[in-house]
Amino acid sequence: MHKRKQRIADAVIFVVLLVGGLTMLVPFLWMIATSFKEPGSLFDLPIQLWPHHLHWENYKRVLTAVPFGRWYLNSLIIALGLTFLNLTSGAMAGYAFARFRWKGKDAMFLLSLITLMIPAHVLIIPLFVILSKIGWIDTYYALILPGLFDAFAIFLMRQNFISLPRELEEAALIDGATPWQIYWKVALPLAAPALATLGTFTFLAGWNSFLWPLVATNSITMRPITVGLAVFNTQFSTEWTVLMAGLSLATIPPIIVFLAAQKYFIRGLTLGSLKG
Amino acid sequence: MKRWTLALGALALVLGMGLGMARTTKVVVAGWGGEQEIAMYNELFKKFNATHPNIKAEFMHIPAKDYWTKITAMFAAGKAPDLFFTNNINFPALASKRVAQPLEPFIKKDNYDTGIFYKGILDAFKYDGKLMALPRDISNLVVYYNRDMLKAAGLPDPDPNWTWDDFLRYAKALTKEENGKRTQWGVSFYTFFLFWEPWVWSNGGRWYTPDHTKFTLNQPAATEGLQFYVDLRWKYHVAPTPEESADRSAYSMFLGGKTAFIVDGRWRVPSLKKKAKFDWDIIPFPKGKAGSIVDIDGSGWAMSSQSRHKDAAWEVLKFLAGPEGSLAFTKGGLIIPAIGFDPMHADATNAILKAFFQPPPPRHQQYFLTVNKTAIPTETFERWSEVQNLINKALSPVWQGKEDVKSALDKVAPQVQKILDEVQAERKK
Repeated sequence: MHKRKQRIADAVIFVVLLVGGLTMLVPFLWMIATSFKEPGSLFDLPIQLWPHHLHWENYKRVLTAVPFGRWYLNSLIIALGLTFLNLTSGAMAGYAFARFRWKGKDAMFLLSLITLMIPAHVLIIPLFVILSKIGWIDTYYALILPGLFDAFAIFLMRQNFISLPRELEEAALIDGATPWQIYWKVALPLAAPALATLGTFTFLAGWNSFLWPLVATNSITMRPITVGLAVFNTQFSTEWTVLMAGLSLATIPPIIVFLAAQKYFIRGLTLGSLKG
Repeated sequence: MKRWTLALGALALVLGMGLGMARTTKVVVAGWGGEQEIAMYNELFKKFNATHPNIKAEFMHIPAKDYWTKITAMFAAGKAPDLFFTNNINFPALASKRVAQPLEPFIKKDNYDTGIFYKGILDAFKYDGKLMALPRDISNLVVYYNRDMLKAAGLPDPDPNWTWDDFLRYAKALTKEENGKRTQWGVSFYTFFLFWEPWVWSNGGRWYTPDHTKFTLNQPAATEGLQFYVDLRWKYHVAPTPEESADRSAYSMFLGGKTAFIVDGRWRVPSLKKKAKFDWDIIPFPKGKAGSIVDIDGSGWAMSSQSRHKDAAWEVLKFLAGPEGSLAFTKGGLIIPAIGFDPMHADATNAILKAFFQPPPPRHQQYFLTVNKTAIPTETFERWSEVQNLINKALSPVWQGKEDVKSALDKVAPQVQKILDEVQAERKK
């Protein structure tokens, strides 16, 4: 009886997950199918789900007509740079907020949280004004450094460090470790799941960013893929097939990052459930 | 003595070269566009730079999406491009921020003839009575028709001087019903303002008085014209209702042979040439009480008030908007050139026209140019986008056949009038 109930529950979960998974997958497959369609045939009726012939010329065009390789590299530099800086600053600040006692700590933490409520669009123009005064517009500095500190990263890491058992760090302290050693050798390794989560978020955000890179770059060669590909979407027409070919190639790094970080996600989740 | 002069001469030469090099001024031109347009700009500037050794023109591409965010940020930072591409719809809001340089001083200095451009599009780029940009291209509306459907109904090609009554007569004859269900309609139906403005204007109506002091879209001349358009759908049933068109767009119904007419722009030509399975052509918009008046909107280049090299920027601007630039962009097949005819450069302007007239269809493509004589620009002003939103919202029940034009516009009139009053007060400051 109990077993049968379990089996029904499993079946329901399976169906729900299947439907959810398919809903996620269909737009993705549609993108790949479109990237292989003949240019201009996209809106033909009846709708072609999968092209009869694979049209590789969309890929050829996106790789040759525009500096696609350079855009790809720029996107990688931006996303990886942002991820590295955010993990470093987020973990250090988060640890300081979680473990050290100092004057004005709570006020500072609150202040950093408040920045989360400022919409990014409001910051664009002042940021542009400041960076163009320093002369950083159209450089990697402008693309990466404004994201150096992120309140969300600090918040996430702080909560994570607070939830870690204090005993481990106290043991290290008794053994004569310096605060830096405790942070680096004890706390940080324990925070690996949180770092993986934060890293994935940051990488995706950096990889997908559009508005700021558009505003912060002047030359075509400094653009990331997101902004670069916009050239196929013009006043008069959108070259969907070429655009989708570019986007299909652009989804590869986020997938790799997700797969690499996946085992940490799962470990992080199970750790929590065991404790609970 | 001789050696001394030689040395002096050499020194002067070196200095002169140095000064000559220092005099090269960079002119940055910002614009949107696809890779084809980027290539056109680069090629044009190569030509320009070769003939103007003291100026280096450079194109800065900004994707159309968020183009204005970037331009605004650049102005805020005092780093605006010397020239920037703009359309006339966004233009007044921008010009009211004093970011554009009035062109009159340059026009006067050069005795530049702006008469080469269609008057309507020049009007569109005036702010406070001053010309602020030179136009590149225009878009306007004509009536596309499915000649096969006309023939099947025993109708001849419409006369270019046809009237609203003729239009209705044709549309009725072209609407078909089978078993109490309509299967074919006279005309496709758009609800976007660009497409219904001609019905207002051709009936003698306007959105407001020319100085934007008083809202007039709810006056009889305007409402009667617009009501005629709405009646095509709800009274005469010669245009499909939302239910009848289901999820088909106005254009796809014309392309699919479900409607015989569509009032639309030049941008449909490439697609129709490629996909239409019937004989099609164009004809001017039919005449109402006040004539046949369609929109003439478009884009062009404005000079930034922050430019540090305005004289050089003016040279680049003249080149881009002039015969050579116009020919290059027209050749691309995407635009209707803003240059009508330049008697001083007859050959050059003839070349532009030749580039514009590509192999038919449409057989009568000259109408894309002739309608410009009476066309007027969309009546935009500083707070146009707010007014557009208000009117859109007010007209939404009208498109559904639930309210008549007059009462819908009367209701929204006070709100629009308030915006106009605020704009007047703002301008006086």
